Formats: sequence, structure tokens, C-alpha cells
Amino acid sequence: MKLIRLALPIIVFLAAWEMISRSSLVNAALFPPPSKVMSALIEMIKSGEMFRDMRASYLRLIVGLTGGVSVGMLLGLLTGRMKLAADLLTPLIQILRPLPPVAIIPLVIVWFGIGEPAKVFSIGFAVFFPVWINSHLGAQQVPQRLLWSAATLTKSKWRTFSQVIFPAALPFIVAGLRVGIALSFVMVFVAELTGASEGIGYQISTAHLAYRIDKMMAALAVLGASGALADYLFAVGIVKVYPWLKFAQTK
Amino acid sequence: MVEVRSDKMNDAQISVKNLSVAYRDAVVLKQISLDVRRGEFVSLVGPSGSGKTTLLNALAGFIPASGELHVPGKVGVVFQDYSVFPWMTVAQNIAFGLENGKRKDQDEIVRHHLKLIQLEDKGDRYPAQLSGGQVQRVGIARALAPEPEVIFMDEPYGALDRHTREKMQQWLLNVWSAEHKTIIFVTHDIDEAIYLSDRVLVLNSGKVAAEHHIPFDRPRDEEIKFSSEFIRLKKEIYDRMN
Repeated sequence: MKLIRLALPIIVFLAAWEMISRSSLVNAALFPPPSKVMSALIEMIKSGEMFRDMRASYLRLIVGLTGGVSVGMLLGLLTGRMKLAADLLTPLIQILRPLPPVAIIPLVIVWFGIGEPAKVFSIGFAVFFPVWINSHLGAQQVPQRLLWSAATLTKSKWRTFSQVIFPAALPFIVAGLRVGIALSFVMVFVAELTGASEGIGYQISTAHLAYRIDKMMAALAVLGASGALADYLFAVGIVKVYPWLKFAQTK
Repeated sequence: MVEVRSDKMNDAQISVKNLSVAYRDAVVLKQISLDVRRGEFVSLVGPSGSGKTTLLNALAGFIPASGELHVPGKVGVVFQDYSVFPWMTVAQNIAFGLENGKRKDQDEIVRHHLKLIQLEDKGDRYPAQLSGGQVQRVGIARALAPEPEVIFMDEPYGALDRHTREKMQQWLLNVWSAEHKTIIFVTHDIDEAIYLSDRVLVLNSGKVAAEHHIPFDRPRDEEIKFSSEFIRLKKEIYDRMN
């Protein structure tokens, strides 16, 4: 039953799209039906270009995401808990934060050229901010009484950090990570528009130049589906690793 | 600021002279002096803002205070909220304060305390899967497990319904007499304070307004709550609070 509820809107959407583009209401060349997009996708899979592009994009995404998440989480926990770190870093981060991450790409290209480092850096840069702010707020809101309780039970700073502060901040961090994952999909596309020779974003822009709307849509569908799948896997996986999070979420 | 902490106390386990606490310019506690015997059960009652929680926090060393303060180095604490770590199972919560000693001994201590709180079969549950009374028992077990000399409790039963609360009071008295701990107990419930304590201190405007020794023999029975002596004490304390 639940599966039907989840799949029905997608089926209705695809069916409506198929009918509209087969009618003479719209120009089928600009608005190809899902069946044509599907055959373009199969063609791309058979030729091997789709896997090549997916591999390239996912690799950039994983490296950039890992970098942005690590630095964001580390600095967020630091600025959230340490007055000195907050005073030193927060003003700088807050000035950079309102910049649309896309706007730094021209500068990044000047710095890093058009190779992989530029793409990975752009993704990491974008991911950093939501992860940082959420980790920062999460670390800041740890109830004082939990810390007092912990202080009567352990003298170890490391245990207090890893077993009290970090898990207390985790629901916030998880929220930041989900925003970061979504942003990384935006950024991998944008970063591949310039100076890429493979990747899903590259595929979309070359299909555009070749006027292959069906291929464009196929690549877009893959990008969208991978983003949704990544978010789903993360949400499921994190609860597997930290089972108590499911109680934190329902509260 | 003078703050002296020592593990070597004789008859008075907690000894405080002229303890004052100030937040910015406001003085919250004014020159409080207090001695607590080893194994004594002392309750602090008072209206909101009287300073009872501040006194407990100062005694536990959580907030800075001026005056002379002798409190054992090893204390336990139980709060009304946030008394347990929601990300740890019941057994992990109890084991958190056990850093020294062999793994096997730790398991034994955890088992002992699970039995004490009547949750032997719930060691691998998370606090969110327990009732309010059970969670508070886990908090008390976690405070007891490292064997502190003094336990500070800040309205531990404030969020419980009346029936659970009364059962928990009886249970706490049993644990207290079995484990021989000194307990400092903050509550706004006068019945609870009288029923549990050897001594009740009434705080008002940051000062000890009155001190009542509770004469009832132990072990105590719920019936004493209906005695004229109990009601007389309750009235006296009530008058001092308002």
C-alpha cells in the first residue's frame, strides 16, 4: 500500500508527460516523451558513456563532500564549544557564508585551473557552510546539566567530547549533512559545466550543444535520482549506525 | 574566593561557612553556613527563586561560589531533565562513570545496579523506550555506580505523576539505607521533603530561613503522612516558605 502511495505520483506524472508530448500541443523535439528519454538513457548506458559520467561525477562528489564535511564538522564543533575558536573563526566564516557558492567558481578556476582540484574544491566549499553552522549550533546547545553530569562521572576531556558533546550535537549535524549532500549535487553539476571532459554535468551541457533534449533529460533524471537515493541511503544508514537517533527524530 | 575540597572529613562530610553566590551584581545566596553528617538525608525546600537549586549547584562545584566549602571530591548528581544520556543504553549509562577497573568488574557493577533499579532485563534499551520513573531510576543508578560519597538530587521526581512519585520515594529510601550515601535533595514538594529527610532546610531569598529536624523513626511508612505530627511540620514549613 505504502509503495503504491509513493510510486503513484511519479507514474501519474510520467503518464501525463507522455500524453502531452505525444499530443500536438507541444513541440515534441523540445519536449520529448519519457519513452524517448528512456531509450536515450538505454543508449547512453549501452555505449558506456553513462557509467563513465556517473563514475566521474560521483568521485568528485565523494571527495568534495568528504572534505567539506570533515572540515565543517571539525570547525563547527570547535567554534561551538571554544570561545577562542569562535571569536577567531566565526566572523570570517560568517562573511563568506552568504556568498552563493556558484559565485566562487570563476575565482577557483583562476586558482586551481580547470582540472579536478577546482571541481572538488568548489563542492567542498559549498558543503562546508551548512555543515559548519549546524555543527556549531549543535555543539552550542548541549544542555549544561548534561555537561555537569558528565563532569561528575569522568575527568577525561576526550570521553566528554566523544561520548557527550558529539552525540548531543549529532541531530543538528545530521541535518547539516543532509543539506550538504543536496548541495554537493548542485555543485557537481555547476562545476562540470566548465572544463570537464566527463561527468553528468558535462553530459548535460554537451547534449544541450548537440540539441539532444532526450539525452539532456536522461542525464537530468540520473542526477536527480542519484541525489534522492544518496539522501535516502544517508538517512537510513545513519540510524543503523546510531539507532537512538530514531527516538531523537520522533520527539 | 576560597574553595577547599577534601576527601578526609570526619563527622561532618559537607561543611560550608559563609557561602555566597552572585550572578553579575545580584547576590543569589547570602552567607550560608551548613554542616551535613555522613549518611544524612537533607532536603532543601523553598519557593521558586529562593536559591535552593543554586545552593545545590554551588555545593556540587558546578558554579563558582565564595566562602569556605568542604565537599568530598567524588560526588554524584541527578537532575529532573537530562538526567541520562539518550544516546546510551541503560547499561552504557550506568557504566559511563566506571573508568577504572577490569571490564569484568564493570559488568558486575552494572549488573548489580540494574538489579537495584529493577531493570535487569532492560540493560540494552534506550531511555526513550522506558517510562519516566524508569529513566529516573537509571539516572540514580548512574550516579550511584562510581560509589560517590554524596549524591545531589535536583527535583528528580518533579516530572513524575503522583503515584510513580510515591513509589520512587519509597524505593529511594530503601536504596539510601542500603548504600549509606549522603543525599542532598532539592524539591518544592513539602510532603516529599519531610517523608524522605532527616533534616529539611527552608530557603528564602538566598538565606536559610528555617531548619527542621524530622523526628520520625526509620524505616518510615506512608502512614506517617497522615499523622498530626507530620501535618504540624508541614504547616510550619509552609509558613516559612511564604
